[in-house]
Amino acid sequence: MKKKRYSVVNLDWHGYVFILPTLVIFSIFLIYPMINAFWLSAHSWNLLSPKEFVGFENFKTLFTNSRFLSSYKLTMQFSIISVIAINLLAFTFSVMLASRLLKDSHKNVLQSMIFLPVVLSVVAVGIVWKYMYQSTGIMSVLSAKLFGKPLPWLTSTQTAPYSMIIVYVWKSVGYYMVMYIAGLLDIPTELYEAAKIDGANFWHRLFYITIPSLKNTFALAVVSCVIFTFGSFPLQFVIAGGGPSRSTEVMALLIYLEAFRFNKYGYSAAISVMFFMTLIVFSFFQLKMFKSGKT
Amino acid sequence: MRKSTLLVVLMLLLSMTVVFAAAQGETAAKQKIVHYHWTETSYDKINNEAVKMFQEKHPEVEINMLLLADADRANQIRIALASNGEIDSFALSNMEAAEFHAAKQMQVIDPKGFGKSTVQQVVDMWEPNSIEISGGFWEGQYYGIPFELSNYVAWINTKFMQEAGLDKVNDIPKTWDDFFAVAKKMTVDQGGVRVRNGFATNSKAAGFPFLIMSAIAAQQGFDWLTEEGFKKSINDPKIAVVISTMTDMVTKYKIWDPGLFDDEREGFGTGKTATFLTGGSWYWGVLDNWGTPRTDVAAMAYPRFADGEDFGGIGYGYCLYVSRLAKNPTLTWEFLDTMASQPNEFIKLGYNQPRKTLDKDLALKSIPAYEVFATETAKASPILMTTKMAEVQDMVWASATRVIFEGMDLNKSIEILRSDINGLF
Repeated sequence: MKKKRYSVVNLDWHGYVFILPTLVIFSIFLIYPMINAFWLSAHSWNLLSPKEFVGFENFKTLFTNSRFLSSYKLTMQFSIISVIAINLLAFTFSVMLASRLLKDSHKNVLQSMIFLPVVLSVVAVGIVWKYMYQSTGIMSVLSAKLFGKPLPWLTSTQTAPYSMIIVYVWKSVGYYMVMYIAGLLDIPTELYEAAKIDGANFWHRLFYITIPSLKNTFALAVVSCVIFTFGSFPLQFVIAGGGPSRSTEVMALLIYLEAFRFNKYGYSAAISVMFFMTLIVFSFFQLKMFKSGKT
Repeated sequence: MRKSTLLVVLMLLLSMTVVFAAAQGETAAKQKIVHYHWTETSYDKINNEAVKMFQEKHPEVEINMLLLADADRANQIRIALASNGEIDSFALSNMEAAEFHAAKQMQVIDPKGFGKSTVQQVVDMWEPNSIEISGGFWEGQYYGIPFELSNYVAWINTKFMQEAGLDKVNDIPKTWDDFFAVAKKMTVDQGGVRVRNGFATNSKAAGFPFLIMSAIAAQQGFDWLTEEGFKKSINDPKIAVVISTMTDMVTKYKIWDPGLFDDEREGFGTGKTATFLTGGSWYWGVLDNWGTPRTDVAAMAYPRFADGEDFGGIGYGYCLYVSRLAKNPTLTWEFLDTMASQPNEFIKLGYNQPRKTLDKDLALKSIPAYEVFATETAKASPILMTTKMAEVQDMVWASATRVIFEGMDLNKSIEILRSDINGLF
């Protein structure tokens, strides 16, 4: 008998009833706002006066607006550096914690310490780091001891973006470490035993067994990291307010400023549409990249 | 499910519905006035007292006063109005009001709410021109009643002056050059780390430095009241003086390290800055929240340029307005009249309300250096009346931050500012 091909259309109506509540919530809080944002991006609106249809004017403006272009570039830089740093560190920590180098008790403590920032409130983290970065804060005192004078953590357009990256990586690495640990636990130990018998050392096992086996985990971690990092906003808002001189004004923050400070809701929606399109393209290419060469 | 269980559940639901409907009925008997205001610890209890007074006089009315963070208040008001929500009245500063006036979000004063028969009689309840200065007058009509009228003066820590070998009376700076020199002496670095600024303002909130620059612009003879005057001034070469007066504090005189702290009002109160330029008489009440005692502080006239116009810090105010969505405008005006009826309570904390019932002797006694505020009020710099205030503030301050934080050449930054402003208007 020919196997019936799975299709949503063939689902029993009971299935739809079960997923209906989620569909309703999804539609109200995700689908409708998304469609509304696309619609709003074609208008000029400050909430107080009636909406004015402007077509693609908002998009024309933002493609020639130096503030948007600078914010876009900054967001890309922030995302690329943060994603690489987070995934490298998370993978390294996960391999360390999975190895026999550390005692189990030490592993548990280290794992908890690395994961703890993930569960902390991002606003509280931002406030504490803001004080740490101030002239008399611990980061300035430490850098003064190391380099002879304190680094301008939040008062230089050269260093401020990296100050944000440091906090963001510190806050996020634990989450991806857990993802990699879960991936490592899935690798059959027989592969490592067989490799040891064949004389493979640690590095051989890492490059020929561990990394290839974690391809799906890498895909998941990198794609989700890119999405979350691209949308980073609370840290930049709380710590630096987008400054100094707009050097930490990432796209999510610019969307906020254009809407809630400058009251240009249509223009802000246009930026968010560009934000969405960028992430769609990113995700598409990344998934394709990770899928190619799949055995 | 058993029939008996179903019956019990249905009865429970029914009784809950009856209770709910009864509660709604009881609430529906009371008229509700929803007022949007800002929160400030020192003044909240006076405002709550006004609510209590009004509710005692009108037991059929329930006041819901939403006390919001000042930075968020205007946006919350905007959202409530846009969504046709429950908003009967609100408070706005003169800087915020233009956009709301232009979109016709407020109602004209109803004299019946004040027990008067004409609008002019209501206007005469306040000091002359106070409604205009605080933003309640628009295109020939009165829309708001003043809740605050203030002007920025310069604040200086006299204890730090004495520590720096300065005389706290004779060495009070009068010109900008004096100000920089005095602030420099009070600036303290320890081990290469700034521990006390000579001067500070909030570098992250463009509004505050913009207001200082507004005073400097007025002193340079610029018209920063009208959009036309403002645009003209941006294209004038002397605009460089307005911007460089701010940037020099960081780059040339090094009296201000923006990395030490954010909020200058708190920074002055905690002794991390020796001077600041963005406080009115109300700051006396706010200062009491921190460690610096009033006896170590002097309020002084804004610095002037030796060859400039005689203008002080900016004059500004807040008005109370009845929204276009008010359910009972006359009653709401009566409530706002009650809100604004305690100037003698506010003045004890240094908060000036320009109502004619204000006891001037009490004001003199309550506000240290009252004569400074009174003299400076008469020479207050104006604030730009524009519907694009937030963007203007952002662009003007950005012209300074590019120099301070990026090391950009001042003239190049001014060119960018000109392009931004011309594009905006």
